[in-house]
Amino acid sequence: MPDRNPKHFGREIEPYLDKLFHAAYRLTHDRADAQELVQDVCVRAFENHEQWAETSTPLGWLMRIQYNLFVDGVRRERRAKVVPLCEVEDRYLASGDRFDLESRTETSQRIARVQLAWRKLNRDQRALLALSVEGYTLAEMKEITGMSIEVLNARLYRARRSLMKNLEPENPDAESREKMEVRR
Amino acid sequence: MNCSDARRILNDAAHAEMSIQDGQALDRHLGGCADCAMEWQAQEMLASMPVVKVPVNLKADIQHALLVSGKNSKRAGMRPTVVAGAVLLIGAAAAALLQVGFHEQEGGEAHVAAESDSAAIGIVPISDAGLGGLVPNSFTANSGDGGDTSTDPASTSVELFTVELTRLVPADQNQMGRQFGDWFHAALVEELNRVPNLILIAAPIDIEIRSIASDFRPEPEFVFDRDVSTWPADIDIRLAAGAGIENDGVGDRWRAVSAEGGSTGMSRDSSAMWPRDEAVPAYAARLAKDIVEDLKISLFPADASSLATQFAHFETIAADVSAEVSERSTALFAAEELARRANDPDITARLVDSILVLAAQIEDGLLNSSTFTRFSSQASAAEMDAARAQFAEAPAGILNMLSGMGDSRVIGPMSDLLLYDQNEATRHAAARILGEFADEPIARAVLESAAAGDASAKVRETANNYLVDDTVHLEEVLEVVRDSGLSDLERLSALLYGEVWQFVEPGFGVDSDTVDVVAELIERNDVDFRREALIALDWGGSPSFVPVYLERLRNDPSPEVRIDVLGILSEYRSMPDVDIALEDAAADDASEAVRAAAAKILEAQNP
Repeated sequence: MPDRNPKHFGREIEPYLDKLFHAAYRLTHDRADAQELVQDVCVRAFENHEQWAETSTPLGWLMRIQYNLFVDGVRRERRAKVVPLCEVEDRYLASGDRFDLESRTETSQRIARVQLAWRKLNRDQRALLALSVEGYTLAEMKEITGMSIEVLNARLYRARRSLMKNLEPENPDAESREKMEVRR
Repeated sequence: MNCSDARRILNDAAHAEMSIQDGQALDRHLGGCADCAMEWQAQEMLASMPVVKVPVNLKADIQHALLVSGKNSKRAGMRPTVVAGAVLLIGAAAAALLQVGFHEQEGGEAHVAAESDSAAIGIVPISDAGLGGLVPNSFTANSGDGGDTSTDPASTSVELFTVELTRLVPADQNQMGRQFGDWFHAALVEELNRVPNLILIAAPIDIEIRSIASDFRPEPEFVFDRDVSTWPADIDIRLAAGAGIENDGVGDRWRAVSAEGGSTGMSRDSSAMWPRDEAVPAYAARLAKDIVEDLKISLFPADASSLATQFAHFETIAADVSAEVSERSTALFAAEELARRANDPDITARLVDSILVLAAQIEDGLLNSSTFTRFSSQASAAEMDAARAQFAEAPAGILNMLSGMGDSRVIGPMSDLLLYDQNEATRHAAARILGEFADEPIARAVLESAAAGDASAKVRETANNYLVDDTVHLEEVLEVVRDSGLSDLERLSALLYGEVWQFVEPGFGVDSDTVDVVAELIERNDVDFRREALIALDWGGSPSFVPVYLERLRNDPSPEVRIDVLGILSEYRSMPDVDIALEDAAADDASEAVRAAAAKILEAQNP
């Protein structure tokens, strides 16, 4: 009989939390949302702990739950963000050096642009790209998503293309010219 | 190396183990193939995005969620769960999560905790909560105890500003939990507002109300009287509040713990029966007052070195555009106070730099209404002019940065800008950001207002664009296809691959005529084109085209096309009529190869 003790289950699932969180952050690009998603995954896994006990690929099984929760997930309530001081300290180790404001701003702007483009992707696309960037192979992604390799290839291509398109600066004139080129 | 090889390497993440020869071949291919180069660029760009550290409280939060889940499953079918939660945002500097819930003992048996349980729990000072020397011991506002001047509230001008509440109301709430949540929240806000010089760094507060009586099942409309003495005699309630609270596994004791078993932060567990001589609001108020006392944190040490170190922490956070707005605001708020206390010209200059960077990224009114005002007391006239110039020159850029944060809290400030700002570029940028939230009623209403009445045609058009139906019509693409004369297979394929599929997203509405038009195009072309076009359509992975595939399977004269279609349809076996069509093909198709292919698909287990 699988262990139904939540504490024990929490310990069993602990080795996978970092990977789940990193993938969740790739999906959401938001720490709080990622944390909430991982929490939901763990609760869902606990509710299905019989399957957990039987699976030979625990991380793949958890990632599949995470993928489904994210793709099918209802829109999450955005909440005021909690700022635990201990987290603040952990994230930013003390540095007496004065950081380079200029390069930091450039990096921040690049990140913001990518995040904006990312948000314009649909949930399916974000989910597949996140898995891919996290290093999952097509075979693993097939297990997680239930899609065939061919479909995965196609959708990854489309997602990357959409992302790059979303990153293009808005320039209606250029777009018009491009369409004219196509027509010719 | 061809595209297929390059894609295999990319998608199977095998490039880390590539041989030098393969790497060179790949480089050559990417140099000559724009499509593959684009895919690699996208992948590498995403891979280069910063990876955040796993939150330290993740494990503890999950343990808590599992405990709650476990308890909920135990009482499933016995009593509706009550979870009324509230999120307090105290200024941008603090938040507290309140959860109020009923919990049934396993088996419905009454349970009363031993009195000694409460003594074992107590309050954990935040200074003991793994924060090292960053935060000194708690202080009590207006205590007048002298001592360390760094904790003397009279020496700080830090004010407690806005209080916001978001209430989370689950479907299965019941009256008691909701009422208690209301009372507790009101009492907590009142208590917080009484504290004059307070910075709060957030701590989640979980409160659980446990009903002991197994036969107590209030109807949803049941209203508790505030006078507890009127309640049914067999109700016994205890409370626990604090960060990372969990019980001991059987639900009779409470303590604040981390995943490692240590203390996680502030907590308070009444672990006492609900006082029958005290009305609910009074009790809620008393609990709130106790918690506020626990939460009072003096952020500021006395020595210059610690001040400088802490300033560096918050300076970094304040400039981190990937962080939440509230987090950055908290950090800036703290940095300002630290700089003020440090009274060091270098730190003051760095503070000014930080604020200038923020000024280039975030509208001051959104970040913190008083930040810019306070900044004005720190900065020289020239610096103020520079900051104002940055605002004036790049409003669109600032707003785009905000949009990039994906924070729906921009709706309020963006609505103000769209409706009232005098600058057309600012209104236009605000319209574009609000457009991202066009499904939110407030954003939609503001967009409608702008679309109807903005002075600028450009703003009206942009606002209107976000209000129109998302349905994408393929007419323009199809027009291009037609214009090409349908003679250049390669060109048509490129167009189909490159243009059609992007409109066939599952989330988009597809023009209802599109399938018919595409089917018509496919029908009147030669075999090679039909095969290519069908594969191109499936590239989009949309079930919208299943009727086209079914029609091709039944009627296309080419066995090659029909076999292609079988392969496509194998991915849509959950759709109506697909298996029937496959069975028909397996039994009746004129081509033996088609019949065999259909039979093979049917033999495979239906996913």
